[in-house]
Amino acid sequence: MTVVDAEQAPADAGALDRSFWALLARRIGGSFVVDEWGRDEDLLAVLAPLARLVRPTVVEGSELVPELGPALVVHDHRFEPAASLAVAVALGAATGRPVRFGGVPDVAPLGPLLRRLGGVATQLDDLRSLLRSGEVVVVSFGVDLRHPTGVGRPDPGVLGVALEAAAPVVPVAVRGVPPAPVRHVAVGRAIGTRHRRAVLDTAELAATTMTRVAELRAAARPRP
Amino acid sequence: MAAVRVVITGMGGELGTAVAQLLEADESIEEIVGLDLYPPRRRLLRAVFHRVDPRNRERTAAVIAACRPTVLVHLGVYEPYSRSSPRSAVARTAAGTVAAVPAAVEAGALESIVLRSGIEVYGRRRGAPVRPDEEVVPDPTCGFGHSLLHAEQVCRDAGSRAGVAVTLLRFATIVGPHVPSPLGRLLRLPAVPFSPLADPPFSVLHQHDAVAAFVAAVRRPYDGAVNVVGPGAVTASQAARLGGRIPVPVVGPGWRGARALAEAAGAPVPEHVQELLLRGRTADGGRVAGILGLRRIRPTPEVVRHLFEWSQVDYLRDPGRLAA
Repeated sequence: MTVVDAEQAPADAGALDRSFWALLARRIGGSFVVDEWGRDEDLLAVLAPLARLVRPTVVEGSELVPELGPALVVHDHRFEPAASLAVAVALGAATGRPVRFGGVPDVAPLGPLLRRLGGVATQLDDLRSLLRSGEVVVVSFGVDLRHPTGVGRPDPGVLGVALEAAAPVVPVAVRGVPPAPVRHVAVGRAIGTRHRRAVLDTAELAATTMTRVAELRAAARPRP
Repeated sequence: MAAVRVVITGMGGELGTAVAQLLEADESIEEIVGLDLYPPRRRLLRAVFHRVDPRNRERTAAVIAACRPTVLVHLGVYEPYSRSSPRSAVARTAAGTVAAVPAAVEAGALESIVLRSGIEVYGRRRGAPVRPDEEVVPDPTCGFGHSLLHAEQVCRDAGSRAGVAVTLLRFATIVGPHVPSPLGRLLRLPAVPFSPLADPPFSVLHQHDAVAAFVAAVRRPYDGAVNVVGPGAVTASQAARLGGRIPVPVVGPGWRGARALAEAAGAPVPEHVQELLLRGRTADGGRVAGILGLRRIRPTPEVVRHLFEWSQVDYLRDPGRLAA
């Protein structure tokens, strides 16, 4: 975890004021905060409630996301655009932590716009930098062509970075494909990597993550 | 350290002069010798300055050989449109590096090399990491980045041959009220161009923090690269608003006109600055505190605000203030 010197932390108390006039004043004066990855906190504060109005997301088990330090949140594969964005926004609102999401294309204007909302390309170097800085990042499983409707398969490279950074891996299952009016996000118990780097390899971590996500999915499935 | 002798190339610039001033105050440094095409910006008390064109290899080698430096601070890296045209910046950087570094090694007493490099070496190719750390393999995409990478390679090769530590200080774009910087000049124009399709974030570094990094690297030699970046970021349109300037959206071929207008207004836009405006430029500077002991680096938004203040020249009379 990166400990930020108190002197270096943003000291602008006005930055916490989320009223319309404060947001507008910061936008005109240029004093809004854009971080190194391009995340614009003020823009998110305006757009996130609108996204929740369009399609609400219910989060179960948000307390399982670590309160401090890095975490890699992995969710099952979805044939739904912007699923990671929706999970990140919902988890951010539920935990109060800035939550980022991967899979952003490096093409303007879509890429820069998604970066403003907390997106990052699933670039292993950037992921390593994010986790070293103590950030929470949401990534999706890739599609498993043998079982297209299954949970999908995690990217071993991504899990390898989490292992290297000793970041816990938090399994998440998403339920509710549009046009279902509500999206459900079920968070599972984090898979710790800090004390297991010597014994846990990427393949084993991938298998454990897939099992946990599949269990969450099964538990979330409505029973007859 | 005993009998430390320091050679500073590029001593005539703002950074070189400031580094020399701070090192002068250090009693453990026996001798400070500087070279540059231009004389130092301020009076130096102990340092000896030689006015040498960096392209003059023989004279550069002779001055360095006479000093037998234990530390080479290679600040003779020229940013395009900072003090030189792009073409002469490349020529001076390459020739000065090839002349100074081997000469310092051959003098026989060298213990460390400190190089002024930049995060431009990482490049901003499509798909490149947005916030590269020191483990990312350099892949420059602009002329200045290639120039810096060449200087790094020359220093690394010489360092490995001589078995000395080579500290590569990869700075974010250095700006400050009194540093000749193409980005600083552009941001101070009444109207500042930006890309409305991207307006990506970039980080900068205050001149005093760059100077403090050099002094720290002289005192704590480290073999490897270190990113030195002001925490946080701003976008071009945000920087314009912070300075009370008018952000002007520019797309596609409009950049050609914007560059011509900026040049006519006295702020030519080199390739690496245009790349910064279109693709952004930041880096992970999380290791600098542990390696160089620099714990208080000015955040990027604060540096940009300072740029617009037109503050008085801040003479470095008290070395403790910056070296802390």
